[in-house]
Amino acid sequence: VKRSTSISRRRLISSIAPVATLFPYLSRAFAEEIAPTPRLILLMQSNGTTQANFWPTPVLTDSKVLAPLLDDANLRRKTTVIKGLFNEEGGAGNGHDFGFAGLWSGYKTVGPFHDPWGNGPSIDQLLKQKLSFHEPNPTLNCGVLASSTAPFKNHRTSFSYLGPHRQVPTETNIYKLYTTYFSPPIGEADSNRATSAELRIRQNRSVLDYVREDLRQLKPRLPVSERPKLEFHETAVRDLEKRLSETLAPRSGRPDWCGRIVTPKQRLDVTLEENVPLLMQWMFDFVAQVISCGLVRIVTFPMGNCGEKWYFSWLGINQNSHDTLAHADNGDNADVTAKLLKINVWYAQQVAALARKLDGIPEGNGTSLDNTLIVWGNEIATGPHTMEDIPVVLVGNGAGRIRNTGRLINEGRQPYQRLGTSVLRLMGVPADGLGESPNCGPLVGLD
Amino acid sequence: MGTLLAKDTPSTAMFTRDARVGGFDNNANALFVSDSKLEDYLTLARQAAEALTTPAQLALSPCPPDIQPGPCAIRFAEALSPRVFGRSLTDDERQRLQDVFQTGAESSTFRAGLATMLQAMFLSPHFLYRTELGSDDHPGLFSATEIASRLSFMLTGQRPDAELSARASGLFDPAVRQAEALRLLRTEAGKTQLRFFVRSWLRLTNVAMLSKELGQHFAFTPEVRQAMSREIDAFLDHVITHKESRLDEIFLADYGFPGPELAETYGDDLIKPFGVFEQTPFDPVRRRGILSYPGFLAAHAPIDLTSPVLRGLFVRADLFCQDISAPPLGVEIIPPPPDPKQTTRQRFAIHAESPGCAGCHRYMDPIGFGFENFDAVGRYRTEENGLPIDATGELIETDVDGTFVGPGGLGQKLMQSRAFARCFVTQYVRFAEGTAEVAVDSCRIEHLTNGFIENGFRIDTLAAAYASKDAFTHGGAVP
Repeated sequence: VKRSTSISRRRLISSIAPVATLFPYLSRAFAEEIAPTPRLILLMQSNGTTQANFWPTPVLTDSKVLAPLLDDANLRRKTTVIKGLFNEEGGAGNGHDFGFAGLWSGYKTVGPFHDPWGNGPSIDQLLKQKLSFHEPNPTLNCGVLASSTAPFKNHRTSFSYLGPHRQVPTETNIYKLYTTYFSPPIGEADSNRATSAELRIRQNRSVLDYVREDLRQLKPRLPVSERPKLEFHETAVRDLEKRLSETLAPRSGRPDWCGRIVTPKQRLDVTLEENVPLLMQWMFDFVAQVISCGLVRIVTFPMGNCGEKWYFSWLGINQNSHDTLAHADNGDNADVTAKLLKINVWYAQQVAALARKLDGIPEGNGTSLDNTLIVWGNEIATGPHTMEDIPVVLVGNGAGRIRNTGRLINEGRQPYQRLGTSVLRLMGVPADGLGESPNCGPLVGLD
Repeated sequence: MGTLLAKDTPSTAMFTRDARVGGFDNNANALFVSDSKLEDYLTLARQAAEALTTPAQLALSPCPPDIQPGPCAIRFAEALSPRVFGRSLTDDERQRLQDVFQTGAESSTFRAGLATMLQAMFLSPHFLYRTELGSDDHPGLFSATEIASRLSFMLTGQRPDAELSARASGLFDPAVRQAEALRLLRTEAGKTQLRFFVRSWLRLTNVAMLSKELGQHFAFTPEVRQAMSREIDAFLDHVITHKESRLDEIFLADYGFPGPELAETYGDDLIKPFGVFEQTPFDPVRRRGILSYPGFLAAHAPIDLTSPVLRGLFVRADLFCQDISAPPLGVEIIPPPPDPKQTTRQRFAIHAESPGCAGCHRYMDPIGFGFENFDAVGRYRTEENGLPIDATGELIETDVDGTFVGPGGLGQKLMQSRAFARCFVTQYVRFAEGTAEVAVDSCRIEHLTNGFIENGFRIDTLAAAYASKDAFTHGGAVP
């Protein structure tokens, strides 16, 4: 008789009542001037693009879709567009699934056709393991998933993975994020409040010490196969303790406004599709803030669910953009093409707005954008599920690590894993490949 | 956590959602404590701790005046320990919890110290995880509290209630486990859990969030989809409560539980005018069993048209537990375009005609054709684009091969199929064990399937039989 020893996490029982507790997250990152370590923001759009309207000239002009980004000469100078990426590996599910779970992990999806999942760590989690961080939060996976329709498959809400099937959930609640990162505001002057916050920090640390000791004692009693689960837990405890050890005192080098950030006043339902435009704007405000205030290094951000079906009522479209528009994007229906152009221009506007926010924040001799790399990817190349010429746009040069920006890179067909490989290298992690292609090398043409 | 606190329980509404691998959200491989989860837990644990240490709560169990705050706090922890950890505290825990109490009470109140100490208990892996480490008293077996926990989480999704905890030491006896299982299944939590299992298995958890686009012909409003979802709950409740939770009733029932919002969906398919989610007979020619419920039909169809492929794939994969390999690379997985001059069956005929497609699609499309009397929102129809619909379906390479008509006809085939029963048992065991790695052809599945069929497809009996197996206390794959 074999005894299998195992451990599984409980499903907590839900009920309704507001969550009010908060504890402060305060930054230590500013004891020294912010080092020019590149920050990374990975954005994922769904449903591909209309190829004929997307690709600009070699000097980044004449793209209808990218006009909001490229018509701004300053942003154009900081932008790199990459043509030629393909994903022909397949996997479980269809192109949406291959790309959503694959673009940033390099792995094929696994599982039955109707229930595919990612099969390896995504690069945000690889970077978290391999780099050392002065930010209290190495990574953050947040996004806008408000939708009047449920994702068609269960994996479609997050592209950040610790490993096979182990998906990092996407935080969509903007209020919770502000409470967690900025409440009370950094540098809160009120001494009573600071005292009680310090007490809370000590209490929380003693709680986490207790948990850490429990984990330490429990681990050797488990079979080796079960230990990684406790190791994830230990890491989460350690990271949380690190965040809690940040002090209240204002630090030099940190923008003043970091101490005055408050939660948006207006209450929005973060699950309602009609709120997507505001949620996207607020969420990008938040991302720019946590990046520029040195609270987070790497952000992963789904702009909607994989295979999103948004009706884009805010653009006057009011029809299922996935099934009735993206799928029908064959170039033979002017109405479909026009509506998709509106939609894709809207995405470009969002990305441009994020870039502009970062570019408006002075940092060292340049701006916050100059020390950041935004990668705007797409799960798929076109609405009808083709995987050739996946549209990818880089904004920012990652603290000077991309020298030649302001151009289209078009070096013929390149496996999509090269994109992730290049991003790992730009972030300071040596890599010869990614996921299924450990030797694919970096992108040809990016320098 | 909800079961620890009678009311005013803290909220998990703001929690990030767990991954739902294989349809079930309790896959032990997929779940882990992520950064945001840990923060959620920290917050929730604090709220729970504060709720348990209100002045009114503390007044219920005052410490004698001659006892120091530290030891008093430990008394509190000891009283709570059976409910939190399912056991008494160890000496080491007692010491460490007292340290936490001291830190919490330092420059603050006794109550703050107590709350901090309870927060640590709620964040302990011994509370957050279901640990199955065995015990020294019964070598090779799980401990009594671990068995109680297994049983309770499997059947109710919650920690053991007081009755079960009190009988924990008797749970090494299969008859006691069986009796306790049947008792738990009759509780509200037990019924909810069983309903949740069936909905997860049939991929019906998203019905209230479906999207449909039928133009002006049909308004698929939130009220309609919510009514579809509620009807499924009402039906499953009925079967669980009044029909011995029998699987054949789920697939063959000749009645529904329509709400007024579904009047247009049902049209003439109901025998009499209907009330608000009350049992109402179907026109037996048109509908029979859950496969003919609007919520099921809508959940298993794209937004505007039906897809014989999707419906057929569901039957193969989730009802027969058969694997269908992924489409070959380079195939654009988009169905043949709508054609106003053809029926869906005619449109998909290209799959059978093309040798490259037919190899796999012959396992799916012919099953899906059997559902063609129902459109993408589950309305009954006899014509499509002015052409008569042929709703003959066909099963091949099963143990009930042959033709059938409609979901009711398929339901009858399924209830004659041992392969279907075996698949159902496998799905239940996957759910019970929180893992997708359960082989459909294993000995113990065979054994459980025999009992399941002999007992008239009672799901409650199956669950109790599963719990009564020796393997339940060993945790290994023992027949």
